[in-house]
Amino acid sequence: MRLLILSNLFPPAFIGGYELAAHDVAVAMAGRGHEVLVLSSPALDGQPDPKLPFALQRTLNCVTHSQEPAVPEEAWRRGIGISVRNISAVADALVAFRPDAVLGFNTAGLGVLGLLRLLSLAAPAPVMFMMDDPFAGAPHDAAQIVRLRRMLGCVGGLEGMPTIVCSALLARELSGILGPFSPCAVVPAWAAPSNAGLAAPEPNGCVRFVFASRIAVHKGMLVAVEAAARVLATHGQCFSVDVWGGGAVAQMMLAAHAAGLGEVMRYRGVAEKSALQECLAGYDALLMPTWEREPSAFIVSEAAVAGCIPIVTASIGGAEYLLDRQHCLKIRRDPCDLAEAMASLIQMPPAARQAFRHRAQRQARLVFAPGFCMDRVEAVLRDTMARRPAPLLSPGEAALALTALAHLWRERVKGGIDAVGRVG
Amino acid sequence: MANVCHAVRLAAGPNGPETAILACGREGAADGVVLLNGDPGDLGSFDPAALDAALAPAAAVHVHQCLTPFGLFMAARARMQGKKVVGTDHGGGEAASLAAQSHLARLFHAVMSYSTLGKVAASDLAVMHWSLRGPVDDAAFTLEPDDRRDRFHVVALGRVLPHKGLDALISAMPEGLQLTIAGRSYDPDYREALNRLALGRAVRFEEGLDDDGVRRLLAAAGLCVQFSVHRDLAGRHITKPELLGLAPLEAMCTGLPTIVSRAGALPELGVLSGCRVAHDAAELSDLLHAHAAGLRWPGGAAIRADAVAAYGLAQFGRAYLSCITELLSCGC
Repeated sequence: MRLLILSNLFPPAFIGGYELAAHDVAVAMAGRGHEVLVLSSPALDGQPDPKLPFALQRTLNCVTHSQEPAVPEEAWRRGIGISVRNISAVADALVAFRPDAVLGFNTAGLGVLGLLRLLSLAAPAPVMFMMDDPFAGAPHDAAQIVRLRRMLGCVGGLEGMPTIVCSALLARELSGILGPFSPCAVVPAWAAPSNAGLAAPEPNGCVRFVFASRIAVHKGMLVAVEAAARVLATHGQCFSVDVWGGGAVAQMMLAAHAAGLGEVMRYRGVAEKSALQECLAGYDALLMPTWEREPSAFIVSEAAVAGCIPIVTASIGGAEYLLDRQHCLKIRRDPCDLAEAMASLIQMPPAARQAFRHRAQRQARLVFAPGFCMDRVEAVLRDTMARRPAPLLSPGEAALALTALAHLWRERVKGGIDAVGRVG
Repeated sequence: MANVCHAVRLAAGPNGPETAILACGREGAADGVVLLNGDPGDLGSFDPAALDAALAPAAAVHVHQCLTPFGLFMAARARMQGKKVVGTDHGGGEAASLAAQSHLARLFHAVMSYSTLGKVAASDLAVMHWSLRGPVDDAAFTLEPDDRRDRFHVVALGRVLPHKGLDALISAMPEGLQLTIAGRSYDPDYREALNRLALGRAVRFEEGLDDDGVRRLLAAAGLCVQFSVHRDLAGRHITKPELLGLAPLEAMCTGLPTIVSRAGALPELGVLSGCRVAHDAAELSDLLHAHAAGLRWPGGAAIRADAVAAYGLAQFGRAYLSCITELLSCGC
């Protein structure tokens, strides 16, 4: 099949797992013999792209992503609402590439509502792969979103398009924002096993924890610091916490230093995904006290596949596939509960801890197997191609109508924003 | 016969919100009017499912006041349903978007105007153009007997607004003629100015006449005047004061002779036997004096026949259906 993939950001530089997922799917589908074109925005680091097994066109404009400082209202309108430029770019690609199917990943910052509507009107076999809420974290006015959706004639859910979600948690969250819909498949964040075997327990009995994530408050960096301080106070220096990732590193390490964790908590840097995967096998457990709405988190899958026991906020999407105390430890998102979970592993006999790691690894290698996940993605695409009727409109017609609505909406919104002031 | 759906934006009342009406007509059945609740000034106020359901049976959608934000919105939504879209400008303003993005006019497969002026006004819209005449409702406005008319009774019909030139008309009225201005006032300052001008003159105002009241007025009058202007009493310039001239056409359908100004599309009515064009206020005064002195007009039947042949329902309907049929069969 000819497959068009849309993603607001695309590696090599990346912010989170969503764009890495788009990359993995593109590689996998190209590897299965499909002709793939990826549309995305310019590289975050401005570096040229490496040689890829698929075509990549960075013709989209992403106005909002988490590395940006606070954005003005106009960027919100284009990021969440509708971007005429991106409507036009995607319509052009639909005409030039003539895909058999379109797979949409993260559309945050691309004019979410407008793109969803364009795909529903004019794309052959459009499928959305949702791994996050495209409205999360951005300043917006819910009433304006509702109003624009009504103007665009949005029918609810994801415009009737088949949707793959990474967790039931995300499906519920999206239903609350976009209206009810039934995902056609649930595909978790996948992780390929590395060649590294489970590291043996430390001879001195030290338990090795790892915090590997975007270093941010919402990922629980300060919760981890406080929990580690509690454990240090109650159990002494019988554990370590390695920190991997980019973001608010200085803030986290200064907090660790202030809590007396200088010898315990060490920053290791930013690693390539494959290199980190190799390292994870050397840790006993992953600390992941992330915010309760975390939709998936690839690191949870990657840790479990490596035999690194995930200690995770109970409600997150990634925890849906793992049983508490069998394959992971599920906690409330607070330092007390995290410290208790850490202490339970410290107090656990090494053999029992290794057995726990092996259980986690076996389960993870079943449910998070990349081949299994890609099989499901491909099956959804083929099924959609077989069932979906031909698009009602040509891309040009759809783009024309959406462009007109975009201009009309902005005429009104400008006055409304001026009246209500900055939203957030 | 495919269904043609109209999207009409009602003029607002002084206090209430406006309402959009979708009218769907089916051949062989009574016309159905679908009322969509919503405010044409707030395009997000319309229930999308209800709007789509209302548009669904139609093969073509005719959007009125097509250059307004509401008009562009309806055209876009109709296009999103794969409909053929025709637009007609009746005034009511233009969306700022269209001025900046003229290619948005391609939302319309065709634009229909009902006068040469309308065609000129749409000349920058790069879409197919239909130029039809009218229509005037010659079924509602029927021939009235000449012998029941009061020659010295002059009427002016329509909204009382500055661009209607009523101030010039009052000033031009000679002794011996009485004037009835029938229509609702929308500009208090202008109405006050007219009141002052009318002092000591045989001028009366009728507001709130219903359709029957208008017909009775036309039946009794001896002359109808429509003296719209491009520059009003306050010096404001109005680009399109009259796109057709419906009031004088309705009057002529009853057999009533008319005088019109040269503003907008009004002078196009000068080809009709029952219509004379006054090029300025002085000429208006001359014509009114001549009328008072016994100026001969064609008989009412001839006046009506001329108006109906050129602007009546039947000729419009034939031309309109021909255009719609062609549109539906083209591959555009």
